[in-house]
Amino acid sequence: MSPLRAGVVLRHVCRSLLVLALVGMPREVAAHAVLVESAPADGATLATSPGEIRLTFNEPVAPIAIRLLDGAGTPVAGIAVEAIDRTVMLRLGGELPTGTYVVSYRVTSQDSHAVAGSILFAVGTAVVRPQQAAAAADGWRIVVAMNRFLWLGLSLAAAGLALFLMLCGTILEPGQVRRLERLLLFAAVSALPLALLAVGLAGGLLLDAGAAGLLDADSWRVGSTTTLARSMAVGFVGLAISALSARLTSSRAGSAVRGIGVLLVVGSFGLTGHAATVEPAIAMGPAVALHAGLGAFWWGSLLGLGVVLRGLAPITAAPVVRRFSRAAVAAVAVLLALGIAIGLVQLRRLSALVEPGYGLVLCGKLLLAGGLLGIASYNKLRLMPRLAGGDAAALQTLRRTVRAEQALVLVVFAATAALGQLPPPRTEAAASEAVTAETVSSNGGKATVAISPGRAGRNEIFLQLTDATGQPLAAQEIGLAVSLPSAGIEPIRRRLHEVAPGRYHLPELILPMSGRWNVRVEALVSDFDKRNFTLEADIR
Amino acid sequence: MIRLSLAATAAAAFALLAGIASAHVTLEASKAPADSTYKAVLRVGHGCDGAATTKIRVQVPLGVRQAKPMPKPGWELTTVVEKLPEPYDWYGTMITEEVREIEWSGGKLPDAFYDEFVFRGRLPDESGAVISFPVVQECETGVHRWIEIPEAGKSADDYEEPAPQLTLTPKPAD
Repeated sequence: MSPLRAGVVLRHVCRSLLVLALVGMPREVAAHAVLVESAPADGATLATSPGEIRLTFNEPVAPIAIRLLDGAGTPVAGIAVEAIDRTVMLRLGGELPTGTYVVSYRVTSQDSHAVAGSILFAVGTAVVRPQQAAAAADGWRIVVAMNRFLWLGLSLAAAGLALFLMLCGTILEPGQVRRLERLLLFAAVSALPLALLAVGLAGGLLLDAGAAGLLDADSWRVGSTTTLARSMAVGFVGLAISALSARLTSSRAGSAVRGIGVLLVVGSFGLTGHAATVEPAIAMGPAVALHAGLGAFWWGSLLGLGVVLRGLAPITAAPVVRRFSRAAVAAVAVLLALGIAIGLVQLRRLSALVEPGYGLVLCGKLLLAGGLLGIASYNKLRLMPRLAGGDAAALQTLRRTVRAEQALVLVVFAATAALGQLPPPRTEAAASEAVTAETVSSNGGKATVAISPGRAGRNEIFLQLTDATGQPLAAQEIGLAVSLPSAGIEPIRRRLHEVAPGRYHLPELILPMSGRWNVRVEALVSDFDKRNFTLEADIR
Repeated sequence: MIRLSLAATAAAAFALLAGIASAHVTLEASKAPADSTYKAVLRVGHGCDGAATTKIRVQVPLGVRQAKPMPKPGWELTTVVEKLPEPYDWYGTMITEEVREIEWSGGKLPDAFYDEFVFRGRLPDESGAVISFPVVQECETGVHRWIEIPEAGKSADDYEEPAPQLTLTPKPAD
């Protein structure tokens, strides 16, 4: 090319660039693109595979990289990506099998700023929605605990009264037996709807559904996949049998049928919950069931005694009380021993007994049980002999102590229901077996992240932040952004909530696959001060 | 001839590139001489994800003295004054407290429009230093915190929400 021609070409190029620059100068409407809506929504559970996935932004975007990854981390084949105006569409070639999926997008907006993120959805199973407000989940937890409390009171009353009748039915008057049978029937029938309600509540809690979550079929479907649902089903059947055989105290066969009902109700407690499902489940499940059975006997007997003692004279009351006492002291000793053993497995270390949360509530429960044992011993050693001697005042005192014990048992049930909703220290200890990563930022602050169990799938995140002097760093908001650059997964963003000064928690985070995940913690210390920590964690 | 064309190309390319950071809140003049009176113009080109801006708060860093904001019609202007760790002499007067935070609130700047928020102050006498002015932009829904201060070795481009930065150049010889 001759120098003159080169000059002409160059001038043309410059002129067009100038025009382009003037035309391409920032227009007022040019904005930082933002994902406005997606179909399926982030965290959604779909019943069937979607035919296409739509990502809608607030302005036209150009896709740079869009991927659909399955639970194992392999990109799903046969995807056609199309950008139409403000929407990016992924047309799926075929049906997606059951599982969790990640849509990872990287697009460029009009101001050439790249915008990236990931959304999760599941086909046929449950995906927990991003925990945006811990307050909503707390509301669910309170309702679940209240339902559990009522369930404990009524189902164990039904089972316990059956046991009491088995023990003392032969020496009671027919009128009293009738009264106890009616009470049994009432307790069993009242507990039946609670079993059903528990399934819906469990699903609502898992999905962190809104206030009307119980009306949502999703809550019930998800609830039915939990161990709680299995436990409630067994309990339901047991209660139904108990209700139907309520009137059969006298016959041998009737007692056997009732016994099966009791076994089912008591056994249901060994099928669900922190305590029963921890390793070794084959020992812990039956241990919890036995613990529940002894508790049922205790509770049912207290109720039975309360009814029976109302109409009796001291001398006639003595045999009943004696029979109960003999069994009771042994029963409560085993109950307490089992309770301590189960509690220790959950605590992992004795010092956790005084820590707020699970530890203190368990401590309270143990103290109450100790109180019950004390009252029971007093009854056996002091009141029993006086009762046998015909002392009417002793009977009055016994009536009062039985009422006191009933009240204590109700408080123990409330504590048990609360324990079911608190994370046991065992899971925090499990965090030490989990993947931990630590980093120090430039201004001396330190962030320690524990991802438990540190495997692909459902994980729990514990975060500890300290400032340069080693004091816990309190922050207004903690944001977490996890990404897996090697597999092209753009940051998944979540908020953590505070459990103690400088300690933050995210109950559930689904990491779709293993690899070296990049974890970014953004701690908003004050309105104008944000500290970022970047860590890397190897997820198995 | 060719030199002029190259200059034009460079100018055009620069103009194109300048558009990229328009989503951020930035300072109009990102360089100023040390120890000079500087007019800080915060350019707000966007709301928060499409929502209109309703409040702009800027934190005046220690070292920038005698900060004075410019009122804006339709917006309420307030300042937060803080005691200084060390008083200093200002043309014969002892200064013990300074404006630390400036807030324009009560207005509404739709995402489609652009506005500037102005204040001035005396820059410190530290040539070569980079000063960050953290800005919190509150909108009808949502908040943008332009408060990330680049760590050593990194620049504002490495961050998603960097604080507007000002580089101090050497004082001109009188």
